Amino acid sequence: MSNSENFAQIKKKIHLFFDNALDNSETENLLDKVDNDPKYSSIYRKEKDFRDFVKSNISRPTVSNDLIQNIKNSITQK
Amino acid sequence: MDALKTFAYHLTYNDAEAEDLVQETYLKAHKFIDRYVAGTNAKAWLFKILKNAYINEYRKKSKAPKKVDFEDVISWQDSEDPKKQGFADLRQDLFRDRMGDEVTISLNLLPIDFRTVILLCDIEGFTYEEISKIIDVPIGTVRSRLFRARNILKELLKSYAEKLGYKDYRGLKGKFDESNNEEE
Repeated sequence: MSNSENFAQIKKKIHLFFDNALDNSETENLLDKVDNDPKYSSIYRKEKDFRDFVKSNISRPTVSNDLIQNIKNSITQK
Repeated sequence: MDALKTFAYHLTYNDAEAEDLVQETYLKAHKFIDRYVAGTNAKAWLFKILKNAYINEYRKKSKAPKKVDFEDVISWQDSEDPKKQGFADLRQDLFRDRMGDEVTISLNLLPIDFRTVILLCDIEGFTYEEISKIIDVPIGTVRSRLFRARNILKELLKSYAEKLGYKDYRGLKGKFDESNNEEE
């Protein structure tokens, strides 16, 4: 198995892990490798950093009180 | 409601249009509540209504960003042609006044189909199956779009960081060269 194939497979598994798409035994197996294999831990950390960065920096505009009131009014009028 | 507003905002990039979309979503949900299947994910149902409302009411009226063909995007992403930056640069110009909000800017540079899966998966935490139902595409397509979307987003954020003077000192090129590893 070449380095690049290995990298792609590890990355795919880690993507699936963060997407909650692995079953319990696969998750356990992956986390064990993250703890013990530098290749896994490096890719895991980068992916985690990336996702945390996106999630914590995305704009989250607040819902205005007018919107809530408009929705209430529209529903009660019908 | 906050999650719906965030999703709507990142589809329209206009606060007033985002609020209109959220309002329309709630009114449609109220009108068609009998179509909701009890026990299923109500949040996913609302997101599907919002996504459809956006497509029907906004995209067709050309108020939203221009539709980009999926195959063209893949060709653009995979191309070695330096001109491929043209698309990104054009949209960067539109958002020049928003500098400082790199995630918002970079997300907006993604084609709508890619942006949608990132928002639904990475921001809202929907599963592949839920996203598949929300956007009406097979699960394999969801996975493939997510993979490509994240790769593009990483490149955009990297470019943004480099413009601000940050450098990548990881030094892993060759050993773990991400650019040579496409999933599909």
